[in-house]
Amino acid sequence: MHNQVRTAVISSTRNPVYAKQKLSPLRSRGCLFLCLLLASFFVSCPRSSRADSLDDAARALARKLCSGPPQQSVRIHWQDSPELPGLYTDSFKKSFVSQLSACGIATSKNTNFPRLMVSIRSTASKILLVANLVDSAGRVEIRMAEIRRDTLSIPNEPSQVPRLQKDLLWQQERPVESATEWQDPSTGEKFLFLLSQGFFVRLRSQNELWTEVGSTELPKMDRRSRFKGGTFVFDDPEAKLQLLFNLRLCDFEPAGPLRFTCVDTNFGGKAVRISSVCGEPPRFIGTDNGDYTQKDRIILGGKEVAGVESPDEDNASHSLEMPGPVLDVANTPDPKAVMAVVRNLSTGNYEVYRIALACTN
Amino acid sequence: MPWPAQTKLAFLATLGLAMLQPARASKSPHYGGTLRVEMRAASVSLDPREWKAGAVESATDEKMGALVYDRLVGLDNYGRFQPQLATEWSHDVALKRWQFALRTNVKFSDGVALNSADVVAALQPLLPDGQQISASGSIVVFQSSVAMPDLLEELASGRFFVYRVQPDGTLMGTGPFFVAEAASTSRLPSNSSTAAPDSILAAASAGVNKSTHLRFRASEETWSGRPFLDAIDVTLGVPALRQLFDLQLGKADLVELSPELVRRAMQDNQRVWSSAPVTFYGLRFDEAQSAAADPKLREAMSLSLDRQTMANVLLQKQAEPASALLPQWLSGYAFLFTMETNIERAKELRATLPANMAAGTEPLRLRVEASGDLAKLLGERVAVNARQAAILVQVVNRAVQRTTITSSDPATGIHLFSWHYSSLSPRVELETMVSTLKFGNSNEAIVSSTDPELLYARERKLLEERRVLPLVALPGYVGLSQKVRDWMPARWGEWHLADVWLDLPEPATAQPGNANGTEIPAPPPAAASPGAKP
Repeated sequence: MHNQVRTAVISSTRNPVYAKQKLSPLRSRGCLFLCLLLASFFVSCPRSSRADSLDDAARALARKLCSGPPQQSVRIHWQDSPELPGLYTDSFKKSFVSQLSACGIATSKNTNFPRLMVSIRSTASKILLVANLVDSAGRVEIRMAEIRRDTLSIPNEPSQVPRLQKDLLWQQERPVESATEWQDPSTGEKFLFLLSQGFFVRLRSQNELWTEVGSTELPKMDRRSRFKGGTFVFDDPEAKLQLLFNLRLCDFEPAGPLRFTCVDTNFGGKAVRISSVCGEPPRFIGTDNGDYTQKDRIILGGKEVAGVESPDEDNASHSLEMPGPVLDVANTPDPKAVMAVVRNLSTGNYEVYRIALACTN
Repeated sequence: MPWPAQTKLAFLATLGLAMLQPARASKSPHYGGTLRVEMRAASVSLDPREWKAGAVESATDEKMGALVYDRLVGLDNYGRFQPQLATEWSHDVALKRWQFALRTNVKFSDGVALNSADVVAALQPLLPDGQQISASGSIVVFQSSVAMPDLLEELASGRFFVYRVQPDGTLMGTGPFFVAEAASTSRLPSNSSTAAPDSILAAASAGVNKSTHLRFRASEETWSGRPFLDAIDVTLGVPALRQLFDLQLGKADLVELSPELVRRAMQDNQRVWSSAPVTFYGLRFDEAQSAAADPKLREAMSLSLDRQTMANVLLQKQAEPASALLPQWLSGYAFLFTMETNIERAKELRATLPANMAAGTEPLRLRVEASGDLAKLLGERVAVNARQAAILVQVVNRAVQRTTITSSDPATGIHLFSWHYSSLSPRVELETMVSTLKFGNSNEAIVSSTDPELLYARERKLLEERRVLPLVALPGYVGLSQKVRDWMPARWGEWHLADVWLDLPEPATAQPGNANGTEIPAPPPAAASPGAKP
């Protein structure tokens, strides 16, 4: 009989999905112990170029340099990735330098020391770290370590826009078509609703963290669609949050059981407005023109429908740079906030932002 | 002022999505329409077993194949493997055994359900020696005596499509489209229907090969959801300039732009998209002519080549000078290689060689094996560069090449070849290139590891031997009409036409209150831009 052994398991996200597989049998505990011993040996082996994070990869690269010709000091030059700029974090540099120093290689700015160029480059599926060491005799040593691209997470840039403000609430790999936020007036609980690949997903805020508390499949349509086209709409006079998708307008209980009551409709979209706390009339919200390959902007429009125009390049106070194309903008019951769904061009994740209009001088 | 209380949904709907993106006539994606595609290739094979590794023609085959077939997995532009026909996968610690769980309820375009035996039958002929595939229930298992760390990259690219061979030899796919017509009359109008009933195939390897016009129809039952387009009309064998004219005149929606026409198209404010470099041009020395066996002559040739001029002048900056065999986007280390141009040093080396070598009555013969005018121009440029180093190169174009080379034909010392990158595994691509073009040392063991240091060392050795010299690498260029929306290709050239929709004029009898029926004047785009948001 085969033993069930734990194996390296990956899914589309390269994360473990399940860990029990019937694979090659291990016939005894002694065998298992031997394998674990060997595995721990190989894990600690400095030749390994596999890493689970960029910091791990930095350490792996440094260990490779340590195993090369002895060096006392090097002058490091960091070369960023032209495709994925901003990967050199303090943590990355610290990991690399501390690993070097652990094996006796100091870093210096003295131009007399050998020059060590550390480059980060991306391929279709991987991030490659390349160390190019040129010693005083002109000898070149190349060392590399790699990490899978899908293990990276890129930190978001802080907002520097004074009026429109964005707040990242949620991000996930699966597509998000629309999102909105809702607060239960009776309990004060905050919910985040997502439309994702034909599913309605409900998340609840617990200790400032969103936790999924339920999901249900959207009502079946006559034919499957590649683009669900769903969006949240907020019918202000009745203070009712509704769901619009595939020419159907659906009511649901935001905090109750996940059921939908839908009627056919010809409504095809919505205009989104936002209020500030300054007592001004609501203003329309738009997005920049562009395409799926470009970063987008949320643009603060005027009081009239036609008032959403691309602002001048230097008038940044009326626009908010987003990390990718804006896929949807939806109202929330809170007139001072709208929800934007963005596909982050650096990570490929779908991100949900709360956009608010701050009252500043 | 308080939030106005009388904002009615009907009013909002009437305003429509135009409010969200006012600078563009944007609408929600919608179904319908026929995408008109023009391609240079004179024929297409939809049988992955026939596709030749590295052949530029295979690039067209792959693009058409992606319409009718699916792979087990895909790779997105963010380096993430995405489930296609396989929904999850796992491997053992040694990476020698992988298993893929198949998606359930997948049907071929004739309605027959996909099973694991179909996958095994399709992929086994495509797998390299040593890799075995077997079926177990809804699981397919790949096994090898050596580790397969890059199996996902392999399966997510190239010819690793899943198909089913019919008793009559035709192939059936599970993809978003199927072949509805395969006509041999070129320049058919898109609404013509001249195909005989027996040509309505899923994909017939023989029938499609000879066709000059293909019509793909959307598959209603595909697991990935019905494509937005109703159909795709592909006209084959259209010359490059004619394609550009057809795009300008609105007779085509998607054309392949040749590099020399890219600048012209952009000046005309056409939408132009370019991929990462996907086609490589290089020189391969052939010791059939004894001069080519001399390392000094090869070094002198290498030093004489002016790749910058080839890329910037000959190709009008629409190509990159190549200094490596694999492109940067595939290997990650190509930037470490440099190719020096040094005419003086080339002359010095030439001077050390016998005077009659590559000179006078015994020139170094360069055979242009790659098709197209571009290859001929590159061949001529190589000859000009070599002449500056006192090396006489005689160019023999493919056009005058006879089918059978007889013993009386003078031996060829250099071949100018092209190579289309098709694998997303740098190891597979490099080894396929070496074995197909035979410029490596046959005694050398191929690299089975994906360790980038080993791959780098292998490629560096090949380049240092100078049996192969890189010239330039070209991206793929596409011209798009303004009505093509959601153009979201992979940067290595896959088109993803199942996600594309057409921004067609709305019918005049739109229902009142339907925001999708609101006619929005389309302002001209500010600049040529690929893709477009909904």
